[in-house]
Amino acid sequence: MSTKRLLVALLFVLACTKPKPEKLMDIGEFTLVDQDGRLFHSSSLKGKPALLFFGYTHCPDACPTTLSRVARAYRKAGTASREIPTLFVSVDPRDTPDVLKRYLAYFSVIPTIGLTGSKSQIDAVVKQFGAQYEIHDTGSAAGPLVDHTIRLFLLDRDGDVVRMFDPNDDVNEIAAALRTL
Amino acid sequence: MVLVVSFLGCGPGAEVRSGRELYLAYGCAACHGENADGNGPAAGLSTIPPRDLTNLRGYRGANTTEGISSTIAFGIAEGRTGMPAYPDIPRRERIAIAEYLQSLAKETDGTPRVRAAWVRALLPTQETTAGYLMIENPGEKPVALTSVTSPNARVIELHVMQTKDGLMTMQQVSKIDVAPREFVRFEPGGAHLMLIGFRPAAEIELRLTFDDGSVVRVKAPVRDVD
Repeated sequence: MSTKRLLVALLFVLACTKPKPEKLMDIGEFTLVDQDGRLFHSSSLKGKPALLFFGYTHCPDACPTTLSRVARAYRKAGTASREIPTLFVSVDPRDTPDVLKRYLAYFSVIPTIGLTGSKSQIDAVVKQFGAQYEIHDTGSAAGPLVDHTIRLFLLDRDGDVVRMFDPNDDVNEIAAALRTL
Repeated sequence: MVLVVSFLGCGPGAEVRSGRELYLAYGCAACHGENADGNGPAAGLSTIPPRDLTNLRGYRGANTTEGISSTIAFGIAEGRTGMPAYPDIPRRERIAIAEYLQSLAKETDGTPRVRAAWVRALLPTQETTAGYLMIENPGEKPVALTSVTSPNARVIELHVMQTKDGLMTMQQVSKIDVAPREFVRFEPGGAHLMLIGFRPAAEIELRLTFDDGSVVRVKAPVRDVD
């Protein structure tokens, strides 16, 4: 009981001193290919926070829904948030850099960077984020369907994942995070 | 204005008129619709479809005059957006609204009702998009949606989606069941219609076929959601 109280007290102190948010995951460096077909090194983000999520352009519901939630968050967060890019990492080999670029342009309020790569590059990043994906041929007339992690990862200036948002989380929370980073 | 109307409402048939005036004045129509059929402009914003108030048997609360008056006052606690409580509407006015609603009562034929349909605008490079709607089963028997077609889509499939620990899984299903006097909601991040080979338009027609043989046609606006 007293340990609990101590912890609570400690948490209050920590909250008051506004420390760097706790790192949730060690991501390390990663390399992919961006929407212009150039190599993308995660080190190019150094000093800049970012949002990242995994998806695919043929995704009929979850990805457009997430992108419109992210767009709402950017609108709410205001102009300063435009410095924070959102990385859309495609896990579908059908998504070439050009397809990603044209697809993401629709969400013009989001400073998106579409990322793809070889299967081994993509698999490595998916693993680094503790994410998952699986391509199924279910017989849908839409072609293969992809089950994938739909979590939004928030990376701080040091490239550490400091927060994750699930689809039911409030858009205002995402907006607040974009404002404060 | 509201008060004036109800004080003047003393002649024969005036109760009905004033009940309708109150119904409109208090904004009931925003969700329940001008004709009280549950199809108001804000119906699609609700997690739970607003009741078709012309179907007295479909009421969640009691459908007696006192029962309806009580539902107006206390609401129906049902998740995020059930019927809100309006404790500030005077009892006499609640009774007038209740009597007005009872005067509209129609026997339902049990046919499924489809509401608040819309389709996500096609995104660049894509030929597939998603559609959303609410289906209410006002009848006493279960029904299942078995197929959907549209002149604006090559194929329409029914898909359900689940998210667990951040992992989204999607699955095609052959039907969607709607229990008696229940509803299902297709919504972003949940069950959806998958419109494959979509031909864009400002509004499209959806034709829904149910296992009881009923066919419902609805118009679905196509919306940009950037």
